[in-house]
Amino acid sequence: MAEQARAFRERVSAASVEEKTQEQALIERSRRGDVAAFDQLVRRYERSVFNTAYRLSGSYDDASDIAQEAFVRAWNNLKSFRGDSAFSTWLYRIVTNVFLDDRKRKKARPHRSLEEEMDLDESSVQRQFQDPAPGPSQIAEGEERQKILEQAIQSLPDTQRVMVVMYHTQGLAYEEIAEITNLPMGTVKSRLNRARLALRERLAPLAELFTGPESPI
Amino acid sequence: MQDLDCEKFEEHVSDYIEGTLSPQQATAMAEHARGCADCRRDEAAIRSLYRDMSALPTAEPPLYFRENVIAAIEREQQNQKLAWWQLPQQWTRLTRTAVGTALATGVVAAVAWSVLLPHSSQNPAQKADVLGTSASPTAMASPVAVPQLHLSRVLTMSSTDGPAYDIQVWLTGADAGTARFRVGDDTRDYRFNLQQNQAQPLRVPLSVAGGKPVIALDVAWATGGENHTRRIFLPVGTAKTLPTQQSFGLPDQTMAQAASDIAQRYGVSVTLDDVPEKRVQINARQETALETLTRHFAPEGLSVTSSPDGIVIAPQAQVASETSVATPTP
Repeated sequence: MAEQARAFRERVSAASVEEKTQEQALIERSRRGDVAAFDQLVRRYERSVFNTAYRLSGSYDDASDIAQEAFVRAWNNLKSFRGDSAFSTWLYRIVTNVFLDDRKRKKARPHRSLEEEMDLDESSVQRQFQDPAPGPSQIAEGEERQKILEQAIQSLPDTQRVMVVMYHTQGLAYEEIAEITNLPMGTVKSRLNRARLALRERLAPLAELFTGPESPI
Repeated sequence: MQDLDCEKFEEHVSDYIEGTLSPQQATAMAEHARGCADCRRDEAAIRSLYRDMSALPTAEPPLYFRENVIAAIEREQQNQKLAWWQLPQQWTRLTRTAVGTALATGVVAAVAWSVLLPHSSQNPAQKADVLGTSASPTAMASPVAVPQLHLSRVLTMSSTDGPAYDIQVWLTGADAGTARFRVGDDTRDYRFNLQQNQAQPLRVPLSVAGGKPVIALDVAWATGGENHTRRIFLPVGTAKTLPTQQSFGLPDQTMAQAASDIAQRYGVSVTLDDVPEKRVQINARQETALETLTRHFAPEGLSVTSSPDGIVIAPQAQVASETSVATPTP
């Protein structure tokens, strides 16, 4: 939304001067090996990083590993953070990469999972995992919709999933997502649009279940 | 976009929902949706998707997540052999908890004080834990003879009884005095025996303050046989950069309402000192708070002065003293 773009610009360029200076100081100190300063940065960003990892991986345990690895990577790579992007953007890029690396690792192993293996290249055919649709009488509408939505996100190809999570659950603007994924903004927009249509496809049959007459499943 | 087909509709449906299409494009989309049930359904479903996605709950990291991260980092560091000249880092590690806490509370206090007291020393390391103490910069000799009651900027504190607003109160220009505060419509009294330059915390639970952006305080304070009453309107929130010059028009309202409005708009505290109650209609034309209030009230025999404590409006006979930058001792 236009508001998100504005919010992003405000956040990046005019976040309270005090906050930015404070954060700069913490980054500087962390760069020099001050773990206490880095602890403050972790405090500041642990929720965002963890939630991103959770929404990407769909698993609480995986999220824990991914998020922790992201912070360790950040610590190890602080020297290469030049400050030409916001620190939060840089962190998001790291957690995204940790997630993608994790996915690659899982695909390399012969691995039985409920989900079919997804290719990083989204033009490849994907088979979606069919969940047994619950009967209408069992549906607690809000909760079920949420669970189904979460599963639908998990069924997206990696890049689309990253973008959906960044935009819709982390509230990032297109500009920031473009920076994180290193893609042109037009590409981000069109892929996100495609992701939303894919999610809508996934949810469509179930939407009818809620609104239409009872049907045997 | 003429003759929009379903494929084009799909391509642009996100932009359409986000409102970033041109008026012509948006009209073309709306017209297509009017005539096409499938696309209409798609649009509705995607609108609901936006809503459902933003309603997804945020997952909380597990307990000790942060501690585990730090432990992992320290393991990494141990794997690299530390040369003897890197020992200070180890020392930092051992005391990281203490330093972390001090930084968290100290910096907040430093921001608050430095906004109010530009001449004070700003070394955060000097600040003691703000909770429960009158942490403040070193005192400065004050040339002011007139007794003054000062309030700090409002900080939000977590106390054992729940979240509260923390306002420091101190007296200058007199050895001792008493003050009684009432907050908003609450009947609770906060009483203080005050001594010169010693700050005490006025802790107002958030529930009492009523969640409004401005805390209205009624103060009765006395010193050296003199009694004063004033109404203070304190804006809540950190020192965000609100524009110093603004333009607006307020409706006809009481002095108290106007003072509260001004406090909120400019992020500055406004004090009414023994000011008679009357109705006013305030407007501003690219003016600072001081300018607009002076313009409205000076002709009525009121004085409007500005100090680090905010703006004080008082009858002209009792002009408040000049900027008293005295600060309490820790």
